[in-house]
Amino acid sequence: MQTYAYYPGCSLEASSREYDTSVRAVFSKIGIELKEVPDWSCCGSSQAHKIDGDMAAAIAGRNLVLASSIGDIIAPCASCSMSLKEAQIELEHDGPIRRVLVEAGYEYLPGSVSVLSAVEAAYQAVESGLFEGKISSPLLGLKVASYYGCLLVRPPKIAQFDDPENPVSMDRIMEMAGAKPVEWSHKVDCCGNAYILVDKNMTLNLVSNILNAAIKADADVIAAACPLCMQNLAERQAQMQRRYGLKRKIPVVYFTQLIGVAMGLDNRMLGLKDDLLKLIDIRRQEEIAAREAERQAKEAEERAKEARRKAAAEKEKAAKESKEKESTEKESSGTKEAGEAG
Amino acid sequence: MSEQLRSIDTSLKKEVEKLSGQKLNACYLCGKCSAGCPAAPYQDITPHVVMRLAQLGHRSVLKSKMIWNCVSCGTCVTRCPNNVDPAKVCEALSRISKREGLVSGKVAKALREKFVESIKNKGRVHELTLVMQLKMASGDWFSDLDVGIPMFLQGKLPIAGHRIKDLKNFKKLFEGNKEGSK
Repeated sequence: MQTYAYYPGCSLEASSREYDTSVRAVFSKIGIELKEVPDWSCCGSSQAHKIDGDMAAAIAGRNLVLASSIGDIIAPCASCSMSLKEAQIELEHDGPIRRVLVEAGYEYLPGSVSVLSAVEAAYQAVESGLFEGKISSPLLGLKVASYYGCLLVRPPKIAQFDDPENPVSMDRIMEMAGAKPVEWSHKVDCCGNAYILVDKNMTLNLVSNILNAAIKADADVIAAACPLCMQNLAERQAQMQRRYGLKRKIPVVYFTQLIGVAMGLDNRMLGLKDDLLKLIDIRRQEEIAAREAERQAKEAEERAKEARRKAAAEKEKAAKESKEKESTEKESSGTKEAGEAG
Repeated sequence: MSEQLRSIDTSLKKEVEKLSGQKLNACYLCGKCSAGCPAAPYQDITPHVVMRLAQLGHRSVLKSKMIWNCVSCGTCVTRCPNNVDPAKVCEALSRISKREGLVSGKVAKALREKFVESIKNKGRVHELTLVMQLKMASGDWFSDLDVGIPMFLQGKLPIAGHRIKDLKNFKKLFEGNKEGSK
């Protein structure tokens, strides 16, 4: 069993509990143990960085030191994983931030820990086959728009994961869970994060563009991997329908919630709404029916082909026989003629 | 001296370079950052204009909204052909703007200050307190009640926040930047 240090982050304790519970449930089911970082503190997010970069690296760095006794870190929140990765890069070379940490009693050892987002960790698990045999009820026919947002893949120098303009890891994860990832335009467009509290007009315009793009791509559901994205994308759709040109509502869930459904996990761990579970079932039935219809059509075609082949063969046989008959007749009449002449 | 010339400050460029760690002259103003910036259409000036004003040491940039409302999405630095990070430049400018009392992004300033204050108090951010403080800063109390009340009722905005155990040493991390901040 692999063990990782688990860094939930502030949002997963409160507004995004279902992300926390679904991550824990999915990883435990594939044999990855998550041990919570003891006495973890906030990562600082992008806001602390804006006040003071060194302070931000120090408070994120404390968590790296605390995690290093357990192992590499999985941080589901995109903002947390980005802050921790950035601090980790800063702390790799000796400088004032390391000294500040030492003064507070936290010694960072270079190379002692690395940071993964939950998408990264799940993608690695897919690649190494940990999900094999675990997908008991695949999300057949479910069209999923994988939404990466900003910080899972950007800036690429820090994220060091997937492609910053057209990432595919979450799409591959969704494929593994049996779903149909859709091609769409707004995979990595910003949702405005905490600026929902600062400039609402800007943020809701950005979000309704993202949602409309997913609707245009005919997605059933959007899969997200960040609590802030979730807040903006999922919670304000009624406001956006009224004032920001959102075409219709579309469900938004954490990607781990969808994997959980595919693995047949108890919905008490996943926290999905009944409407979506119903939709997943409907899509699955439709897909099964469509596949069955396709199979039958293929069979019917096969049968028709076989029949045509048989008919053709018989015709050929008949033609051959009649030819043979003709030639024997000719031959016999020829002998007759020859005999008569002789 | 004209008003425009008076607003040129040669020390500004140096300070921005020091605070941001960016070489301002590396930017040749291609505008790729502005083309991709999600926030720019809603601000007063665009990122490459911020870059140009900073290169020139033009103090008017300190009053711009753009330097406060950068959403830190990383699109500009990802696409910059010359490896410059305009977001870091905005960050640096906003710190100078705050020091000089030229802030145009009052609520953005409140967001980052209250956020850090919240961490400093308990070690973790308490979402409900933060939201309340920002509602106070923006004066917009009612527009999100349709979101907030159901979340509160679902227990997703707990009233009490968690306090970390080693708060005493944690607080030292905030005082640590004796050698100058980045």
